[in-house]
Amino acid sequence: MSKLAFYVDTTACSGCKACQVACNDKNDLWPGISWRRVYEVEVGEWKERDGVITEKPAGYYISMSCNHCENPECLKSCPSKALFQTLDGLVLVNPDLCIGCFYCEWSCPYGALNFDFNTGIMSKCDACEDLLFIGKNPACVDACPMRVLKFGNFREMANEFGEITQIFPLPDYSMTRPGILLKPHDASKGAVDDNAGVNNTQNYRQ
Amino acid sequence: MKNYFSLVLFTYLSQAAIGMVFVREFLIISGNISRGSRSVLNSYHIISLLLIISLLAAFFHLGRPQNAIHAVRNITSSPLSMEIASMSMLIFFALLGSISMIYSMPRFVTTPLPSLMVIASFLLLVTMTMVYLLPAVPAWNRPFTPLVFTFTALSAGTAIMSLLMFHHDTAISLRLIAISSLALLIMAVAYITRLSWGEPRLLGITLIISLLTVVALTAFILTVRSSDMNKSFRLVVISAVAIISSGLIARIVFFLSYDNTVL
Amino acid sequence: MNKSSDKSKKPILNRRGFVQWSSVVGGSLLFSPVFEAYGSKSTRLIKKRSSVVGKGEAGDQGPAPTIIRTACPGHNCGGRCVLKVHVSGGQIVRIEGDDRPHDGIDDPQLRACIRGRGYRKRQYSPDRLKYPLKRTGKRGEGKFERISWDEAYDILYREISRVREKYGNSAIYVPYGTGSYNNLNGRWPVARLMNLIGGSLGFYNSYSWACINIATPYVYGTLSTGNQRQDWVNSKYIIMWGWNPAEMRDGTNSEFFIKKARENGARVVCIDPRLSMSAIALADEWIPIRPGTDAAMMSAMAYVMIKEDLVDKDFIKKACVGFDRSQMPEGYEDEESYSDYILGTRDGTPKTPEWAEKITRVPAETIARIAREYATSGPAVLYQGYGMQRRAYGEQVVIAGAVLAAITGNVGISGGWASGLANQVGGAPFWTVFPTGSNPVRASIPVFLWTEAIIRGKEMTAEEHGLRGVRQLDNDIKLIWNVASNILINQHSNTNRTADILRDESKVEFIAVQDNFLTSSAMFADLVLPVCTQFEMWGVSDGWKYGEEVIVMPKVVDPPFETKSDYRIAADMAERFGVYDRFTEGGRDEKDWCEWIIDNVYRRRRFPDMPSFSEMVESNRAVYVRKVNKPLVAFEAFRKDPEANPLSTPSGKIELFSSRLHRMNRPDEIPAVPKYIEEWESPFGPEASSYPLQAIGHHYMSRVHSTHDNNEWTMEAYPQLLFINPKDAEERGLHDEQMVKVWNDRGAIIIPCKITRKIMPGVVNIPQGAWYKPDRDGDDRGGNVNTLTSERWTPLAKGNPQHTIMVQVERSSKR
Repeated sequence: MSKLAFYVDTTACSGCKACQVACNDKNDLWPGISWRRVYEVEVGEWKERDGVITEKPAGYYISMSCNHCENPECLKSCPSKALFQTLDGLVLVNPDLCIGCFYCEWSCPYGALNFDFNTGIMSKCDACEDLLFIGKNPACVDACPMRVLKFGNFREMANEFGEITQIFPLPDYSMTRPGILLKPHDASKGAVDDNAGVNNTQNYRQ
Repeated sequence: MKNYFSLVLFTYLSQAAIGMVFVREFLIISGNISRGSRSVLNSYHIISLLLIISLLAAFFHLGRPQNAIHAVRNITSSPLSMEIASMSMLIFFALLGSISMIYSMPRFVTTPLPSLMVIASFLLLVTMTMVYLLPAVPAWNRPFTPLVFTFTALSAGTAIMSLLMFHHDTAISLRLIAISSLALLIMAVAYITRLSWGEPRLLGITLIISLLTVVALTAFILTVRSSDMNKSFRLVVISAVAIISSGLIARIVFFLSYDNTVL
Repeated sequence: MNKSSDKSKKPILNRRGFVQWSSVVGGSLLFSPVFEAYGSKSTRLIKKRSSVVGKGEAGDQGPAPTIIRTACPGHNCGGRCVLKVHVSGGQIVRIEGDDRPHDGIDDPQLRACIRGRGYRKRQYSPDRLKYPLKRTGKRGEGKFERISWDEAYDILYREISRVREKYGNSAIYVPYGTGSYNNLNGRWPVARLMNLIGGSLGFYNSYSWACINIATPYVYGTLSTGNQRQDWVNSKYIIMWGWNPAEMRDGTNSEFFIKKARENGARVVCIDPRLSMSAIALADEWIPIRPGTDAAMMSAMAYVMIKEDLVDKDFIKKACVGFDRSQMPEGYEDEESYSDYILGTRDGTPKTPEWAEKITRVPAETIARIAREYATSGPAVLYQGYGMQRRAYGEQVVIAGAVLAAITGNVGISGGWASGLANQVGGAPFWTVFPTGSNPVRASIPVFLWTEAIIRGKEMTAEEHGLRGVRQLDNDIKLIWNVASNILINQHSNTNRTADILRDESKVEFIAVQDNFLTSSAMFADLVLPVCTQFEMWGVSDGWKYGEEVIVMPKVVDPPFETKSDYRIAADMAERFGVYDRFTEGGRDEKDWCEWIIDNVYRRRRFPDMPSFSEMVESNRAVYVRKVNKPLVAFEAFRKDPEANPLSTPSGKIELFSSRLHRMNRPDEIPAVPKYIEEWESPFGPEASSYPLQAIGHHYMSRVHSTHDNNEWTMEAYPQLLFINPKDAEERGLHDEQMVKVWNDRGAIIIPCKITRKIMPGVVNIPQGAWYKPDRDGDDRGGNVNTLTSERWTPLAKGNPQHTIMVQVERSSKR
């Protein structure tokens, strides 16, 4: 099985959320549901001496959707086997089986699953399967004004861009083996020591 | 925020039922009450009632209840499937028990029933804990969760059992009070330590839980020392109310802690 | 819903399409057409699944949607982007971005941001105006009743005629407004109509860049001071000074070009009080600076350059005047030169980095280092953002920046940048070419002073108020016809004051507002006219500051309910005034005008290679772009031979000392050389004791000014919040997302706060453009920063100083 992945160059991601809204539009998502989200990470502290700024924080953005993990936690936790993996490794929801318990939402370390109040079942990124069929990229990828988002074969992209799969605050790669590759922003180095935090999780709360 | 209220209800009530099963069997085995007493008889009905309410709460929190039939398809890997299976088992036995208290049933059904209920309760407690031990939710994925689940079950179980026993004028045992107090204390301490690590904004809730714990413990101690049956009953009611409300508040906090930590 | 059994669902897992696909994914051609061969069956499955999941509401049932290429509806952001609109059953069902296959730096795709991508939530908002409305309550109360178009036209005709008769045309004002901006839509048709029936009070300048627009020519004699943006990749060092292209989209792809420049080896520094999106994504270094003190840092940089001999002496000698005593213009030899000011020869204060450190909060060593890097790294760009010139002495920072570019010799070279307004050289864009005609009323006022023209119009003077064309106005403004503009209430300074002025029906006697929504301005209308959106009418989107493109905007869907286009409304009114034929030039409709604009203006005067309008429309191509292979450089000829190619300044050279400014004889506020002047509201003044926080109102990603404030998707991505530093929040006992009251003497707003390290201590940030929604106590619950801003105007440009405000923040008991 060849694994598919998203690549995010966080050094130049401006956090503009064009990907998020392009996804909302493509998939007709209700406000409150975001299959793709952009996390705003802040790192470091302000320090001043006699009013002069001597140290200042830094920040970066991570655009994140479902990573279509090789070893998805959601799949394991779904009680009704409504979540399934295609042969290409896409993780999808079968609406005929989903009971809408949103347990998968809890179990996903990337917050990729969204409970849809209007249908009563889970909804999630399908990597714009229908666009893939006709040879196009997922909507988010083609929306990126900074051209920092890519989608493709995990191995090929890892060879091209390097195989970095984890930066703060993402969980360790071994947990679910996600299809995500990142180019880490300078500010992400030593982020954990520098009291980093994500400052907009509430935007994605439901 | 999602409909956590039904989950609060579901987990708390089913844990109370689990606790009642454990406490009841303990009291019977240790000889404090007899299997045929009215407290035991009514405990079957109360357990069934608690379980049915919690089942309904769980059922209606589903986004698509009509698909609920599929909920045990993934029993080999999904803790939720396992939980649902254990829950169904326990409800089955509890209802059977309730019915057997009203209509006579053959001995081969009634004799193993208490043991089966204990096993199913145990399984439910374990699987329910497993449901919340999610690597993706660090706030829950810690020893705290099994600890509070177990002792919530015990404190709620003892509270309801002691009410029941007082109601039927059965002398309340010191053992029961000891278990209850200990369970309550552990739960309260667990929550308070957990909360005080969190944000200072939760100070108010920490205080409320502490206060309710103190009230419940004081009421228990007074019950033991009091000789007046009516007064004691009132005290038991007070302690039970304090235990259950602190348990519910703590459970709400438990569910709220999800949002603050998850990415 | 079709309840298929588990067995029938199984094929999803094993369908052949996916098997095939997996096998081709290994190749470099990621999604090969091989897959398409199996697409039909699988697509059916997907469609079934999709419809159950509830997505693609309309798209899935009917026939395949029609795809129409158009421009993103223009609301005066800096971007001009291409959208592919999917239409099905008369509804827009999806909006796709530019997908032209070539995405090189000469002609990159014009990719839209969230405002364009999320447009459907604006287009199909339930709040869209549907019918003409007439006010029933008091003005500003927001009570209206539905009327017919005939009645609406009658009222408008009657009122305009009455005001013309009683006061004259100069009492009529069609305000500045950029809420709709594509030639045919917006205020231009109404301006054309007014000009045909005797004119209306004119205005000049803008709210966006009043100071930079007026000040730049004092240095360079022109506004076209910018190289084409592709030239940035030739730069070695780029300072984004208060510039945030990633968020405000200062030209589609500006942020992308900076990224390319960085890839090409340029070091990028961002100077901004906020850790802006651009500071994070584009810059190697971010330097937080106290708002309003940029000119101090620029002066200190000049000090380092002069002291360490890093200035380009040859260029200064050849091309500048006023640098030092030796090259002052004739007749001004004894005046204070630029070096005199920097070295403190006259005022006794050398503008050292240590001096600037206390003012700007930037460490002296950082200032010195940036000065050295900028002067010595090779061709360098100092890009001046517009936020810092929407301040009390916004003119100074513009001139100071341009002077830095000049003394380092970065003018007229590839990889350099002259600073100033920086309209692109070599055929700047046309902005709007729809002919509005000439205004018979000769008087014009600075755009920011229209409230003065209401309350004391006749007292306005040229010196104090920048009145042009006449010595004195005949009238105060008595009738306002406000088209696609929220300037009336929301975007003008000191909203509570403006609201009081407009509430007084004896001042402005009639207000008509034409818009898509009942905006805060429309709430103050006597007559509200519902307008269709740009998707519902023909238009042409032409370039902004850097346009090498023009985009035809076909009518994509029909106007809903009784809405009409701005052009149609103006044409209908023209009929009543008896000028229909002249207005429509013999019956042209919107599409005819677009054809005229493309074929008679663009193809003749700008893009001779552009296909004709009908070809553009028939091919569904929408966009024409002239590729930039060799970017043009501003002042190239001037640099080669300044004598032969003089600038249109009095000296023909770059004026570090301006004799024109000197003659204004207001050295404290309009000095002849750029100076740092302490602002009238600042942390250094007495006002800081009651209002200790500086507030800035930056352009927000979720909105274009006030447009999209009701867009659920964009506002979900970027909600309206007060951004406050953790230190300031702690002092006030605030926690995240708490409701706070932000106030000063002019008003109060109540919004949730966001505690963030991205704003410097002592500064709060309230994104501009949120709709003013006063509650019963007069506190604005919409979070409109202009509730707090000042109506005082800048000395030279008479511009808006809206970022120069001090506020206090505290917990609010209101929810």
